[in-house]
Amino acid sequence: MWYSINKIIKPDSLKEAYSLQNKTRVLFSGGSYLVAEKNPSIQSLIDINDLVGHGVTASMEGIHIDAGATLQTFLDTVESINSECRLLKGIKYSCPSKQIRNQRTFGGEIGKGRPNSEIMVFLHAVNAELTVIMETEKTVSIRDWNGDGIITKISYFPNQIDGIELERFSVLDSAPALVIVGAIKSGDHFEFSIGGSSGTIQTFSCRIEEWSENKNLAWAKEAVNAFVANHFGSLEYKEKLIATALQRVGETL
Amino acid sequence: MIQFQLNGTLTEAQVRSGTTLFDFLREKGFFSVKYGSDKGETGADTVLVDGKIMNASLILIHTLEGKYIETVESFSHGQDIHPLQDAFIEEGAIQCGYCTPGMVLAIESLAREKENPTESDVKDVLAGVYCRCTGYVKPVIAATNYLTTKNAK
Ligand code: FES
Repeated sequence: MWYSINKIIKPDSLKEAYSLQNKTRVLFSGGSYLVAEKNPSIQSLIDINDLVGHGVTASMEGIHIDAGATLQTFLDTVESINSECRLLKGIKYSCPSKQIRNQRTFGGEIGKGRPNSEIMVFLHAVNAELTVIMETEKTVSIRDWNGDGIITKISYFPNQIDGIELERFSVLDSAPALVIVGAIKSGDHFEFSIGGSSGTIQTFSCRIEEWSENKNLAWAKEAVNAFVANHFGSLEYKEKLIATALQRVGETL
Repeated sequence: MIQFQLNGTLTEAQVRSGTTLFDFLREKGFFSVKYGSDKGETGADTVLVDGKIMNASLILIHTLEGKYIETVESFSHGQDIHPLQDAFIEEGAIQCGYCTPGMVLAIESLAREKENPTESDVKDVLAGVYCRCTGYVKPVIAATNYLTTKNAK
């Protein structure tokens, strides 16, 4: 029971839903994060389930994911078309429970913005484009999104990318990752997004010919400042994990 | 008021806004749905919603209008039990039994979704159900036996 909830609001449009939000009224779609947390300061839920799409379309020109599509819908749609898609693996690592995958939406995952989500690191690496509703509709890169607005669609374009890799280190395969690195090769450059037990996802890029082990070490040194030392490992340890992951994905690409 | 099918019976729920399906089912005596955590981490609260496995603790009742909910109570009638439950008993895949309803629903959903599920599919659906007793080896064997027999028919 989520005791503090006393009202479910069903707005007529996403613009109305956007304008209704405040500290005690929040958007509700899949609900797997919200209901798990049961934040007692939230009193009303703005249910947008009927206002967002729930499908995934994969074509030659791009992958388009409706914000209301569940993680499992993506797996079911894309697995048969491209079993090598790195996001499939990312989803299973990020959310091993099929029960939760059947409920958790892409919009919710991005809204939550966990830096230790393989899905988030992947979407940062491919620089996914978000369609967002505020007073008007606009598109914004996931790397630039400040959290304002209601996401309606997530798109990325594999045909503009020559290679995608995802590497992670965790205590156990089924445990949340300490370090996640997503990388793409596109034209003459590499882009690396780094997440894990950190406060944010950071992205570094360089021309392929400039990429070197020393560059990785320098990026790892910089990136580790956003990480926390804890009982799973010191910052020195995590810095080494980041450098190793960068090296591996770069070499694979 | 929300209306949905619960194990084949049209059910009306007139409850507070923050009520979860888990709260409702326990209140109505569906004790196969167990408490594990409020966060869906254990899968002891697994139910089928329109044939898909979900955690009852994470579902707010208001989202269920017109849906079809199943719990393991609908799988048996007295001594007459579901072949998958039979397979669990045959294999000795149960110890304390706390996780078993969740496992049974997870495997049954897989059987309905896929024609020839693999062992990795079985492990994938069982990943959302924590078992503190069996170590999963026997449940995986029981599931495989059930799915093989079902597909041979
Ligand atoms: S048989 Fe005891 S938790 Fe699984």
